[in-house]
Amino acid sequence: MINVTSLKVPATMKNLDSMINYVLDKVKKFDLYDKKLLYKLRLVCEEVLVNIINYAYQDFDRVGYIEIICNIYNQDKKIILKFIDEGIAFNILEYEDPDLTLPLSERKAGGLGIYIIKTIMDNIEYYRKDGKNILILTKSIANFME
Amino acid sequence: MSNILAERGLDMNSKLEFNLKEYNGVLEVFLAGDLDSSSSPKLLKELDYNVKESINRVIFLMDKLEYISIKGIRTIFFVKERVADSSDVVLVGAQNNILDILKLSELDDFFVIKESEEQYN
Repeated sequence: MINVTSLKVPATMKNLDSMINYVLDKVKKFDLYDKKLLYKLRLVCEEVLVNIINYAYQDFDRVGYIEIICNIYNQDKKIILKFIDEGIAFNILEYEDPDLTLPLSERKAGGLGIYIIKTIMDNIEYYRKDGKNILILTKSIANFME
Repeated sequence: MSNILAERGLDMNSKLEFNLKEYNGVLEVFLAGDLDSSSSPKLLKELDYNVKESINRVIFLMDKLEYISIKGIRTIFFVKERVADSSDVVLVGAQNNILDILKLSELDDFFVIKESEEQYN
Protein backbone atom coordinates (compact mmCIF):
# COMPACT_ATOMS: atom_id res chain seq x y z
CA MET A 1 0.00 0.00 0.00
CA ILE A 2 1.28 3.45 -0.81
CA ASN A 3 0.65 6.95 0.36
CA VAL A 4 -2.52 6.72 2.44
CA THR A 5 -4.10 10.12 2.86
CA SER A 6 -7.61 11.44 3.27
CA LEU A 7 -9.64 14.55 2.63
CA LYS A 8 -12.41 15.71 4.96
CA VAL A 9 -14.54 18.69 3.91
CA PRO A 10 -18.08 20.05 4.37
CA ALA A 11 -20.62 18.25 2.18
CA THR A 12 -21.41 21.10 -0.21
CA MET A 13 -21.50 21.45 -3.99
CA LYS A 14 -18.83 24.12 -3.61
CA ASN A 15 -16.41 21.39 -2.49
CA LEU A 16 -17.39 18.86 -5.16
CA ASP A 17 -14.52 19.61 -7.54
CA SER A 18 -11.85 19.59 -4.82
CA MET A 19 -13.10 16.21 -3.60
CA ILE A 20 -13.07 14.71 -7.09
CA ASN A 21 -9.67 16.24 -7.85
CA TYR A 22 -8.24 14.77 -4.65
CA VAL A 23 -8.93 11.29 -6.06
CA LEU A 24 -7.92 12.01 -9.64
CA ASP A 25 -4.68 13.75 -8.61
CA LYS A 26 -3.69 10.73 -6.53
CA VAL A 27 -4.35 8.38 -9.43
CA LYS A 28 -2.33 10.55 -11.81
CA LYS A 29 0.68 10.46 -9.44
CA PHE A 30 1.03 6.71 -9.67
CA ASP A 31 1.64 6.32 -13.39
CA LEU A 32 -1.89 5.04 -13.81
CA TYR A 33 -2.84 7.88 -16.07
CA ASP A 34 -5.38 6.55 -18.48
CA LYS A 35 -8.17 8.68 -19.83
CA LYS A 36 -10.77 5.91 -19.60
CA LEU A 37 -9.88 5.09 -16.00
CA LEU A 38 -9.89 8.74 -14.98
CA TYR A 39 -13.23 9.33 -16.69
CA LYS A 40 -14.86 6.40 -14.93
CA LEU A 41 -13.42 7.29 -11.53
CA ARG A 42 -14.57 10.89 -11.96
CA LEU A 43 -18.06 9.74 -12.87
CA VAL A 44 -18.26 7.38 -9.88
CA CYS A 45 -16.89 9.98 -7.45
CA GLU A 46 -19.34 12.61 -8.70
CA GLU A 47 -22.32 10.27 -8.31
CA VAL A 48 -21.37 9.16 -4.79
CA LEU A 49 -20.53 12.67 -3.61
CA VAL A 50 -23.60 14.38 -5.08
CA ASN A 51 -25.82 11.74 -3.47
CA ILE A 52 -24.23 12.47 -0.09
CA ILE A 53 -24.40 16.25 -0.60
CA ASN A 54 -28.06 16.17 -1.69
CA TYR A 55 -29.52 13.52 0.60
CA ALA A 56 -27.32 12.44 3.53
CA TYR A 57 -27.81 15.57 5.60
CA GLN A 58 -31.21 16.77 4.32
CA ASP A 59 -32.83 16.25 7.76
CA PHE A 60 -29.99 17.92 9.64
CA ASP A 61 -29.88 21.54 10.76
CA ARG A 62 -26.17 21.78 10.03
CA VAL A 63 -23.84 21.13 7.14
CA GLY A 64 -22.32 17.69 7.51
CA TYR A 65 -18.98 16.48 6.24
CA ILE A 66 -17.60 13.97 3.78
CA GLU A 67 -14.33 12.14 4.28
CA ILE A 68 -12.65 10.45 1.31
CA ILE A 69 -9.77 8.03 1.57
CA CYS A 70 -8.07 6.94 -1.64
CA ASN A 71 -5.61 4.05 -1.47
CA ILE A 72 -3.73 2.70 -4.44
CA TYR A 73 -2.28 -0.78 -4.15
CA ASN A 74 0.44 -1.34 -6.74
CA GLN A 75 1.05 -4.98 -5.87
CA ASP A 76 -2.60 -6.02 -5.89
CA LYS A 77 -3.30 -3.66 -8.78
CA LYS A 78 -6.36 -1.98 -7.35
CA ILE A 79 -7.70 1.34 -6.15
CA ILE A 80 -9.86 1.46 -3.04
CA LEU A 81 -12.03 4.51 -2.43
CA LYS A 82 -13.67 4.97 0.95
CA PHE A 83 -16.45 7.54 1.43
CA ILE A 84 -17.56 8.34 4.99
CA ASP A 85 -20.45 10.55 6.12
CA GLU A 86 -22.54 10.95 9.27
CA GLY A 87 -25.84 11.41 7.47
CA ILE A 88 -28.94 9.26 7.39
CA ALA A 89 -28.27 5.57 6.78
CA PHE A 90 -28.12 4.70 3.09
CA ASN A 91 -27.00 1.33 1.80
CA ILE A 92 -26.28 1.61 -1.90
CA LEU A 93 -26.34 -2.20 -2.18
CA GLU A 94 -30.00 -2.31 -1.15
CA TYR A 95 -31.00 0.17 -3.83
CA GLU A 96 -32.91 -1.56 -6.59
CA ASP A 97 -31.38 -1.36 -10.05
CA PRO A 98 -33.43 0.76 -12.45
CA ASP A 99 -35.60 -0.76 -15.12
CA LEU A 100 -33.66 0.43 -18.15
CA THR A 101 -36.60 -0.32 -20.42
CA LEU A 102 -38.61 2.52 -18.83
CA PRO A 103 -38.39 6.12 -20.04
CA LEU A 104 -35.92 8.09 -17.93
CA SER A 105 -38.72 10.23 -16.49
CA GLU A 106 -40.40 7.13 -15.03
CA ARG A 107 -37.27 5.73 -13.45
CA LYS A 108 -36.52 6.20 -9.77
CA ALA A 109 -34.40 9.27 -9.02
CA GLY A 110 -30.77 8.39 -8.45
CA GLY A 111 -31.23 4.90 -9.80
CA LEU A 112 -29.21 5.38 -12.95
CA GLY A 113 -26.23 6.86 -11.10
CA ILE A 114 -26.14 4.00 -8.62
CA TYR A 115 -26.47 1.50 -11.45
CA ILE A 116 -23.46 3.11 -13.17
CA ILE A 117 -21.42 2.97 -9.94
CA LYS A 118 -22.22 -0.74 -9.59
CA THR A 119 -21.35 -1.38 -13.23
CA ILE A 120 -18.01 0.47 -13.22
CA MET A 121 -16.61 -0.66 -9.87
CA ASP A 122 -15.49 -4.23 -9.26
CA ASN A 123 -16.49 -4.50 -5.61
CA ILE A 124 -18.77 -2.49 -3.31
CA GLU A 125 -19.02 -2.76 0.46
CA TYR A 126 -21.20 -0.77 2.83
CA TYR A 127 -21.11 -0.52 6.60
CA ARG A 128 -23.08 1.52 9.11
CA LYS A 129 -20.87 2.04 12.15
CA ASP A 130 -20.97 4.60 14.99
CA GLY A 131 -23.63 6.59 13.15
CA LYS A 132 -21.54 6.77 9.97
CA ASN A 133 -22.10 5.52 6.44
CA ILE A 134 -18.94 3.87 5.18
CA LEU A 135 -18.90 3.05 1.48
CA ILE A 136 -15.91 1.19 0.08
CA LEU A 137 -15.48 0.95 -3.68
CA THR A 138 -12.77 -1.13 -5.32
CA LYS A 139 -11.55 -0.88 -8.89
CA SER A 140 -9.01 -3.21 -10.43
CA ILE A 141 -6.31 -1.32 -12.30
CA ALA A 142 -4.58 -4.36 -13.76
CA ASN A 143 -5.66 -3.32 -17.25
CA PHE A 144 -4.30 0.18 -16.74
CA MET A 145 -0.78 -0.78 -15.58
CA GLU A 146 2.18 -1.83 -17.70
CA MET B 1 -30.79 33.39 -40.90
CA SER B 2 -30.01 31.75 -37.61
CA ASN B 3 -31.18 33.21 -34.37
CA ILE B 4 -28.70 33.05 -31.50
CA LEU B 5 -30.87 32.34 -28.50
CA ALA B 6 -28.33 32.02 -25.79
CA GLU B 7 -24.58 32.20 -25.49
CA ARG B 8 -22.29 31.72 -22.54
CA GLY B 9 -18.56 32.20 -22.62
CA LEU B 10 -16.19 29.83 -20.83
CA ASP B 11 -14.95 31.90 -17.91
CA MET B 12 -12.84 31.06 -14.86
CA ASN B 13 -15.87 29.87 -12.91
CA SER B 14 -17.53 27.87 -15.65
CA LYS B 15 -16.58 24.41 -16.83
CA LEU B 16 -19.14 24.41 -19.60
CA GLU B 17 -19.43 26.58 -22.67
CA PHE B 18 -22.61 26.34 -24.66
CA ASN B 19 -24.65 28.22 -27.18
CA LEU B 20 -28.02 27.60 -28.77
CA LYS B 21 -29.09 28.49 -32.30
CA GLU B 22 -32.52 28.02 -33.82
CA TYR B 23 -33.25 27.87 -37.53
CA ASN B 24 -36.15 26.35 -39.48
CA GLY B 25 -37.42 24.27 -36.57
CA VAL B 26 -33.93 23.04 -35.72
CA LEU B 27 -32.30 23.80 -32.40
CA GLU B 28 -28.53 23.47 -32.54
CA VAL B 29 -26.75 23.21 -29.19
CA PHE B 30 -22.96 23.58 -29.13
CA LEU B 31 -21.30 22.12 -26.03
CA ALA B 32 -17.68 22.39 -24.86
CA GLY B 33 -15.99 21.48 -21.59
CA ASP B 34 -17.65 19.56 -18.78
CA LEU B 35 -21.38 18.91 -18.44
CA ASP B 36 -21.59 17.80 -14.82
CA SER B 37 -23.72 18.24 -11.70
CA SER B 38 -22.66 21.83 -11.18
CA SER B 39 -22.75 23.03 -14.79
CA SER B 40 -25.85 21.24 -16.10
CA PRO B 41 -28.55 23.33 -14.32
CA LYS B 42 -27.72 26.40 -16.44
CA LEU B 43 -27.99 24.42 -19.65
CA LEU B 44 -31.19 22.76 -18.49
CA LYS B 45 -32.72 26.16 -17.85
CA GLU B 46 -31.88 27.32 -21.39
CA LEU B 47 -33.17 24.08 -22.93
CA ASP B 48 -36.35 24.30 -20.91
CA TYR B 49 -36.92 27.78 -22.32
CA ASN B 50 -35.94 27.06 -25.92
CA VAL B 51 -37.21 23.55 -26.70
CA LYS B 52 -40.71 24.41 -27.88
CA GLU B 53 -43.37 22.59 -29.85
CA SER B 54 -42.13 24.20 -33.05
CA ILE B 55 -38.77 22.43 -32.70
CA ASN B 56 -38.65 19.25 -34.75
CA ARG B 57 -34.95 18.47 -34.48
CA VAL B 58 -32.36 19.12 -31.80
CA ILE B 59 -28.69 18.74 -32.69
CA PHE B 60 -26.08 18.59 -29.93
CA LEU B 61 -22.60 19.40 -31.26
CA MET B 62 -20.43 17.50 -28.78
CA ASP B 63 -16.94 17.17 -30.26
CA LYS B 64 -15.58 19.72 -27.77
CA LEU B 65 -17.40 18.15 -24.83
CA GLU B 66 -14.80 16.49 -22.59
CA TYR B 67 -16.99 15.02 -19.85
CA ILE B 68 -20.60 14.25 -19.16
CA SER B 69 -21.95 12.99 -15.85
CA ILE B 70 -25.25 11.22 -15.16
CA LYS B 71 -26.80 14.60 -14.39
CA GLY B 72 -25.51 15.81 -17.75
CA ILE B 73 -27.01 12.79 -19.51
CA ARG B 74 -30.33 13.54 -17.81
CA THR B 75 -30.10 17.11 -19.12
CA ILE B 76 -29.65 15.88 -22.70
CA PHE B 77 -32.37 13.30 -22.18
CA PHE B 78 -34.75 16.00 -20.99
CA VAL B 79 -34.82 17.23 -24.58
CA LYS B 80 -35.67 13.78 -25.92
CA GLU B 81 -38.65 13.61 -23.60
CA ARG B 82 -39.74 17.16 -24.37
CA VAL B 83 -39.83 16.95 -28.17
CA ALA B 84 -42.43 15.03 -30.16
CA ASP B 85 -41.82 11.33 -30.76
CA SER B 86 -41.31 12.04 -34.43
CA SER B 87 -38.53 14.55 -33.72
CA ASP B 88 -34.85 13.66 -33.86
CA VAL B 89 -32.37 14.35 -31.12
CA VAL B 90 -28.96 14.06 -32.75
CA LEU B 91 -25.63 13.76 -30.94
CA VAL B 92 -22.77 14.78 -33.23
CA GLY B 93 -19.08 14.08 -32.60
CA ALA B 94 -19.38 12.63 -29.09
CA GLN B 95 -16.07 11.29 -27.78
CA ASN B 96 -15.70 7.58 -27.04
CA ASN B 97 -15.77 7.99 -23.25
CA ILE B 98 -19.10 9.79 -23.54
CA LEU B 99 -20.52 7.19 -25.93
CA ASP B 100 -19.38 4.44 -23.54
CA ILE B 101 -21.38 5.97 -20.69
CA LEU B 102 -24.46 6.40 -22.89
CA LYS B 103 -24.20 2.72 -23.87
CA LEU B 104 -23.67 1.69 -20.25
CA SER B 105 -26.85 3.58 -19.37
CA GLU B 106 -28.64 1.90 -22.28
CA LEU B 107 -29.72 5.33 -23.47
CA ASP B 108 -27.82 5.39 -26.74
CA ASP B 109 -30.76 3.94 -28.68
CA PHE B 110 -32.87 7.00 -27.86
CA PHE B 111 -30.60 9.26 -29.92
CA VAL B 112 -29.34 9.52 -33.47
CA ILE B 113 -25.56 9.33 -33.05
CA LYS B 114 -23.26 10.70 -35.75
CA GLU B 115 -19.49 11.05 -35.82
CA SER B 116 -19.42 14.40 -37.58
CA GLU B 117 -21.63 17.20 -38.79
CA GLU B 118 -20.74 16.31 -42.38
CA GLN B 119 -21.95 12.75 -41.77
CA TYR B 120 -25.24 14.08 -40.47
CA ASN B 121 -25.76 16.58 -43.24
